[in-house]
Amino acid sequence: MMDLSERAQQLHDKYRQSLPEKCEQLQRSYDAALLDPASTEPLYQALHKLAGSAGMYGFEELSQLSSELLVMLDVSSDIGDNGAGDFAKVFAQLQLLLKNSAK
Amino acid sequence: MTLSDSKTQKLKKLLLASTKPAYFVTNAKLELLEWSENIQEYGYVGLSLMKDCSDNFDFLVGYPIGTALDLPIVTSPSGIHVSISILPEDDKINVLIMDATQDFQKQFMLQQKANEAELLSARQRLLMKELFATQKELARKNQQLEEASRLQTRFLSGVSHEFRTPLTSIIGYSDALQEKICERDQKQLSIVQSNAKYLLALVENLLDHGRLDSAALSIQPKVVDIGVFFETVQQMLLPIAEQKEIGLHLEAELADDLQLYIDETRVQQCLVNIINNAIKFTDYGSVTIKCNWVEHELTVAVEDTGIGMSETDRENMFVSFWQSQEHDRAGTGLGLTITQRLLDLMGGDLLVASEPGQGTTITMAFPAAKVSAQEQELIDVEQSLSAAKKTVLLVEDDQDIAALVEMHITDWGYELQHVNNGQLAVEWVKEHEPDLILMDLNMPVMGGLEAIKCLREQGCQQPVYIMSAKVLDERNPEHLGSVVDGHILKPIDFSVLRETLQFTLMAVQQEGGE
Repeated sequence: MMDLSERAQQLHDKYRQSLPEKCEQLQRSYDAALLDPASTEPLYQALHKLAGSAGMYGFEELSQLSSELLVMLDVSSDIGDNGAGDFAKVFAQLQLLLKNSAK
Repeated sequence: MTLSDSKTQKLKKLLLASTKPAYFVTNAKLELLEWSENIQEYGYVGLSLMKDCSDNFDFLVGYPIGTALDLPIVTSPSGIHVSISILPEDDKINVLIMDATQDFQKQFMLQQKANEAELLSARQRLLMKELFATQKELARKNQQLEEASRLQTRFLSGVSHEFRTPLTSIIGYSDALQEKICERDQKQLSIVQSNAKYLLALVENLLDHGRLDSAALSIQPKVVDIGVFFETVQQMLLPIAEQKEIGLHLEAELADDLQLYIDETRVQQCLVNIINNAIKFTDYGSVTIKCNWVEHELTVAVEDTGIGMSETDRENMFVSFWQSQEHDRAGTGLGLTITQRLLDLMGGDLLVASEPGQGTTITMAFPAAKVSAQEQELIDVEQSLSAAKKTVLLVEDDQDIAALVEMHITDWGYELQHVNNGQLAVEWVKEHEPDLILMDLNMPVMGGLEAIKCLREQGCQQPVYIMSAKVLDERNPEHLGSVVDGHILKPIDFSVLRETLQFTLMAVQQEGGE
């Protein structure tokens, strides 16, 4: 039977392997929100989940960037609005980080 | 008892003197048969025998023959108020006329008093009406003020929340930078850090102020190495004192390795507020933190050589947003309000001794049970034994989080049941009885808050902790109320989660055992 650290390592690996899929899902939600400013909810939910889970698996920076994007969405749900430039920049950082963390 | 003849005679005389009775007698056709001479004193004149007298005595007009009658007080032709009694006797009618001046005066006075009472009553009704209208207006104004206050709190919480994330980033990234830069830059960076931490403390105060009256402000004691705790607090505030070139000393009279049960975060918040204030109001000299622990009580005195406080300052220092008019120092005016509220929640106490120009000493007392090494060992054993029988229901739709929480909770010896949404939790609880529920907020089908509402409605009394990636409901504190027992921030700190489970389930067990 596996001890706690082995089980934790196994879960951590599984989570890391799931990051590319999370990255794709985020991109899809982001594209949908760009096309239709009224449909930011899937993007919000995806970021919300990432903010919660990434920190618990030791990816603090991922969690932090997701939280920042959540705050931006709270301020204005329209990502094509005045904060669009900032949102796009932080979102690009998050995507890059997701790809790097998955390696 | 009967009256003697002489007294009866005397009373008769008095009665006759005051009523001055007069009479007349008629037949059934109202023709006068006889009358007393004094009837003229009442103004009844021109009387003739066997003549119809209804013209002389107008009160007889319409009189139903054969009926005994007492007429109310009337005014006789001579202007005297009289009472009239009509007494039929066979085919005769006897009429008695008596002076009723005294009765009339009494009646008049009574009537006058009744009128005055009616007038007062009308005035009272008017005043009451005005009072009700004023009360209604006050209630409306009060509601408006409450609404304004609620909006203000919500605004402050919202703004504070948005400040916190970037501030946390500044502190985090500057921490990471600290080791990568040269010594000269490190000093400058530490100033950036201390200021960011100070701003973060202000923001935390604003957030807590928004939660002061809600159940969200909870106390969660855990075992703390108190010596290390005070050194950390001193280290945290030292850069701020050094910036002002004043000393920050720690005089701890504490046994080595003393471990106490306190809410580390909340006690630290109180100390940071008080020490921050002491540094802020001290321009020369030093601030000294003196602490000791005696008999379940941790006492901390913060002494400064600062500007001190006037009587007005001392009276108002705990009022929200209050700032002294006697000096100009930055701050939100919330630190002391929150400190006092936190102390109240913890069952602690605060004393202030201060005079203008002579510094200030603020002494705080925190209830703090000691944990000996053996006790700690015993608690661990007891908890792991009791944990085996406890079931935790985890309501979480994120499989990544659920897997990690499940791994830890089962490792601590608890049984865990996991469901993916609020609806499934409500259904599961109908047939099972968990000892504690961990509830996510954002879930498909049914969210956490709705699920908690359903659970409480169906009689579920078990402790419920909300798990949320955001600081819970700073924007919607009304959702919390008394239906949840606390919240656990995501990303979850598993040591905090473990202590929360231990503490809550032990408390439940103790309540059940009492």
